[in-house]
Amino acid sequence: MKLTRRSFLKASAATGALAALSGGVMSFERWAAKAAETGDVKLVPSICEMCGTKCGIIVKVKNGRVVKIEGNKEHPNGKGKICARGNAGMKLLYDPDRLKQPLKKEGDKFVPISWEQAFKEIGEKLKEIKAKYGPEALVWSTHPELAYDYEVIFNLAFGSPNLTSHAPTCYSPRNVAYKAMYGEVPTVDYGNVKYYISCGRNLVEGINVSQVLGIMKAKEKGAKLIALDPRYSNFAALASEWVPIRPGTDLAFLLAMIHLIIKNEWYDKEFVKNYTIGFEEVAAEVEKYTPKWAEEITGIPAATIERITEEFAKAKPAAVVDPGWHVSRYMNSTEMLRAGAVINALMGNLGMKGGLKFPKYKFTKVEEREGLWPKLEKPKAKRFDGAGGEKWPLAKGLGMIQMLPEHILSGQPYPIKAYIANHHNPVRSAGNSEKWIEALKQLELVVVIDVQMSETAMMAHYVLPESTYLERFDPPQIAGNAVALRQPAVEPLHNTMGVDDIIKELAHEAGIGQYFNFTLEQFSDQMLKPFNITFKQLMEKGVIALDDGKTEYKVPEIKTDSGKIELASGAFEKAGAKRVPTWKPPGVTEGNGKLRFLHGHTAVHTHTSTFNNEYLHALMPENVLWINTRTAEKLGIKNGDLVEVKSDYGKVTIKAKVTEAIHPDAVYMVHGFGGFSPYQKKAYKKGASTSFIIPCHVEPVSGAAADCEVLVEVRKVGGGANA
Amino acid sequence: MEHNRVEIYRLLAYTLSEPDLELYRWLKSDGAKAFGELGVNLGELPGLPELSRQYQEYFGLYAPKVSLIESVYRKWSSDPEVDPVMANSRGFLMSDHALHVAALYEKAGLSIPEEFSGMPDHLVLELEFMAMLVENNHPGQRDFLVDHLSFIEQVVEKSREENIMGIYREIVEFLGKFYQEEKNLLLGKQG
Repeated sequence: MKLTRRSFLKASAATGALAALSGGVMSFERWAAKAAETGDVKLVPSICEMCGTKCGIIVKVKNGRVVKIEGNKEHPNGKGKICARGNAGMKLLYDPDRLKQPLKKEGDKFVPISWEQAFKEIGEKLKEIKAKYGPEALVWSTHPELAYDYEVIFNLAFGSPNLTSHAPTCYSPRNVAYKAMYGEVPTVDYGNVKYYISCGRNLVEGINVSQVLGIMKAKEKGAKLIALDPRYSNFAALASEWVPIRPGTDLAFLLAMIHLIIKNEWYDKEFVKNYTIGFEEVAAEVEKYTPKWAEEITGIPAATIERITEEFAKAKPAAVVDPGWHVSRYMNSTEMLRAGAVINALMGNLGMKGGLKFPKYKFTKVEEREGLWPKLEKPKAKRFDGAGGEKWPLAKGLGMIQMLPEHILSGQPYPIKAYIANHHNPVRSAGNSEKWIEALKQLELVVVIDVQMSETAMMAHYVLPESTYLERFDPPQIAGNAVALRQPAVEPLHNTMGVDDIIKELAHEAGIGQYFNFTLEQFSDQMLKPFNITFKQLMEKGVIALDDGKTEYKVPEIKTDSGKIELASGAFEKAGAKRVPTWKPPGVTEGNGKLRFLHGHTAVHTHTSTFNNEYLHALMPENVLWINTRTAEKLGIKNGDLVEVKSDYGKVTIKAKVTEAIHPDAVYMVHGFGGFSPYQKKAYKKGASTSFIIPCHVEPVSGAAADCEVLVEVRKVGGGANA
Repeated sequence: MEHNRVEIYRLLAYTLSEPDLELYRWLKSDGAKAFGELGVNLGELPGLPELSRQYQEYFGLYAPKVSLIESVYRKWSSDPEVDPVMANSRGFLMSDHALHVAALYEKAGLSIPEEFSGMPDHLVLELEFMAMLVENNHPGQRDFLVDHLSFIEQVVEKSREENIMGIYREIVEFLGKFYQEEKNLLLGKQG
C-alpha cells in the first residue's frame, strides 16, 4: 500500500515520548476521575455578553475549561444574578457551529483563509474604494459594545461619517425625546417606585436583570404597576393592572393624562417653576385632549384614564412613566416619549426617590481624549442617511441604518460601495430581509465581524470571527457606581480575535495604522485616569466601586441649553415638529381584514443572536402567531393551525396561538426566530422571521424604524394539532 | 484483515481530512489503489470542487450532517464541579474526552495543528494518534480504541441516517468495518 507521509499531529519536542503514556494516563475513566479531583480552579470576574445589558459574572475555570458561570454580587448590573441567557454562555463558547477561522467567499461558498490574507485583502479594497469614491463610500454598522470607541476612531481616521448603530430599530425615540428635553437619557429608580406606567415596556421579557430585581422589590413594597399594552404580556401578568390599549395609541392616553394633571393641578408646582420651561405652551396644547377624546382613540374608558391619572399623581414624586427601551414601534413613538417626559416632569420625579435618574458616571467621549492617536478630524462628507443634518438634526448619533438598502440601491446621496457590520445582523433585524439581500449584493466589499455565521455574514465577502466574551478583553465599562472589565476566562478556542485587535489590524492595512499605535492597556488606562484606577487594578478585581453606593436624592444638573427641562422644545421645532407634544395618529390603520403586526422580545433570547444556543433553543424552540379569539373565529383559524401572515413586503408561515390575550386588531410574534443561515443548525428555519413582514421605513424627527407600522392579512394554510 | 494496521489508520486519517489538491491527486492514483487493495471500490471520483463541497456538507466545520468530533457525541463532563446542565449535555466541543486526548498528545510531545484548534478529539487526529500507538506497539491501544475511537460507531450510524453518498460513503463504511475488526482484535487479545 503506497501512502502519503503527510501527518497532522506534529512532534513538538524531539522525543519518542509515547513511552510517557504509561500507568493510568491512557485510561479515560481513571484520568477523568483524577482530573476532577486535582484540577486547578480559578474564578475570573468578567462581564456577560449574552445580551446588551452587560451584567457582572464570575466565570469558574477548571483545567483550562469554563465549567460554570454565576452572577457577580459586586457588579451593579445583575447584583449577583444572571438570566437564562447568561447561564447559557458556555453553550456559545463550546458550540461546534460557531465561527472558527476567517472566511472568504469564493463563488457561492466560504473558504478558510489566514488572518494576514483577510486583513491585507480587505485593507487593499478599502483603500481602492476610498481612492475611487471617497471615504464616505464606507458604512460601518454596529450593535455598540465596549469596543465602540475603536470603531469611532477607525471611521473618523478613515474619513467616513457613516458609523451607525442599531438605535433606530431600538431606542432612538427615547434618546431623541429625553436628550432634547432633559439633556440626558434617564432611567428609573425601579426599586423605590410607587406608581409605574409602562407603555409597552415588557420588563420581564426584554430583560435587564437589575431592573427586573428593582421592579420586583417595588412590587413587594406595594407599588402599583400599570401595563399599557395591546397584548397581555408577562409584564402585564405581573402588573397590578393590564390596560389593553389599541396599538399605536399610547400617545393619546398620555396626552389625556397631561390634560387631567394640569386641569386638576395635580402637578408639582415648585418643580415645574424651578426646573422646567414651556409649561404654558403644553397647557394650551393639551386642553383639547380630554379623557373622552382619548377613549375614542385608545378604546380605554375615560373613567379608567381618569382613575389611573389621579392615582398616579397622588404617588408623586415616586410616580413614573418608564422612558422604555425598545420604543421604535410607531410613527408617533417619539411624540409618545415626549408626552411621557412631560408627565415625568410634571410629577417632579427627576432625581427623586422612585423617580427618574441620570447616570452618575461616564467616560469622556473618545473624540475628546488625546495623546494616544493623531487628532481626529470631522469627516468632510455628510452622512448617507442625513442623520444630524438639516432634515434630521435630532437623529445625530443614532442614524437610520434601516434605510441603508435604499441608499445603496439608489446611489443617493452618493455611492456606497463598502459595508462593515460588527456584532450586528441587519439582514434580519432592520426590516425587509429581501431588500437587504438585494442591496448587499450590489456592494464591492461586505465584511462581517461576529461569533457566528449570521444571515448578514452569509452575504459577506469576508467573515472575521470574533472571540466570544469568555475569551477576550474589552475596554472598561461603567455600570452604575462602578467600573468593570470584561476579561478572558480561557484562551480563544479557535483561530479568532478580539474585535479591538481586528479593528487595529484592519486599520493598519487600510492605511490608518498610525491611529492605533497603542495597546488595550494604554487605551483603558486613559479611560480610567479620571477615576484614579488602572487597567491592572481592574484586571485583578474585575469590578471597582467609585463611591459608597448611597444615593443622594436631588435634582441633577440639567444639561439643556436653558439648563431646565424643556417641555416646549426649540430643538423639536427645528426638526420640523411642534414645540410641545401633540397628537399624531399611528402610520397605518387596521380594518378591512388587515391587522396590525406587532413583535417583541422573549426573556430567553436576544435579538437574532441566541437561537442556535441549545439551552435557549430548548427553552423556546420556535415562535407562534398570537391572534385574538374573535378575530381567529372570523378567519376560520383554530389554535395550532398553520397560517400565512402576509404584508406588502413579504410573507411567512407560522402556527397560530388563538388567545384572548391580544387586542382583536393586532397579531403578535416574538422576533428573532426563522433564521435562514444554514450554518446555525438548531436555529435554521425554526419559526418565522418578522424581517420578511416589516418594511424599511422611517419615523419623522427621530429616524426610528417604526417597525410595528405594518398591516398584515392572515389566512389558514394548514390544520394544526388541535384542528 | 491481512494489512498493515498502521497504514490503514493513516489512510483513514488522511482521507477523512479536508480535501485539497494534494489529497485529491493522491486519491485519484495511489489512494484509489490503496483502498482497492483493501477491497474498497471508491467509485468515480468527482472533481475537487465537488469533493470539497461534499466534504463540507457531510463533515465540514459548520453544521455538518455528520460531525467527526468525538466530543459532539459524548456527555460533556462527569466532573461534579461542572454546571449540571452543561455537564449532562451532548453536542458540544471540549468535553472531558477532548481534554483527555489533549492531555495524551501533550504528554507524548505532540502539538495540535491550528486548523484543529478547539477540536483535539477530531477523528482525523485520533486515527493518526492510534496509528502511532500501533506503530510503537503501545499497550494503550485498547484503552484508546474503547475510550475514544468507539464513537466511530455513531459516526457510521449517523452517516447512514443522513444517507451520505459517493466516496465518503465507501470510506465511512470501511471505517466502521475496520473499527469492528480492531475491536475484535484488541478486545480479544487484551480484554
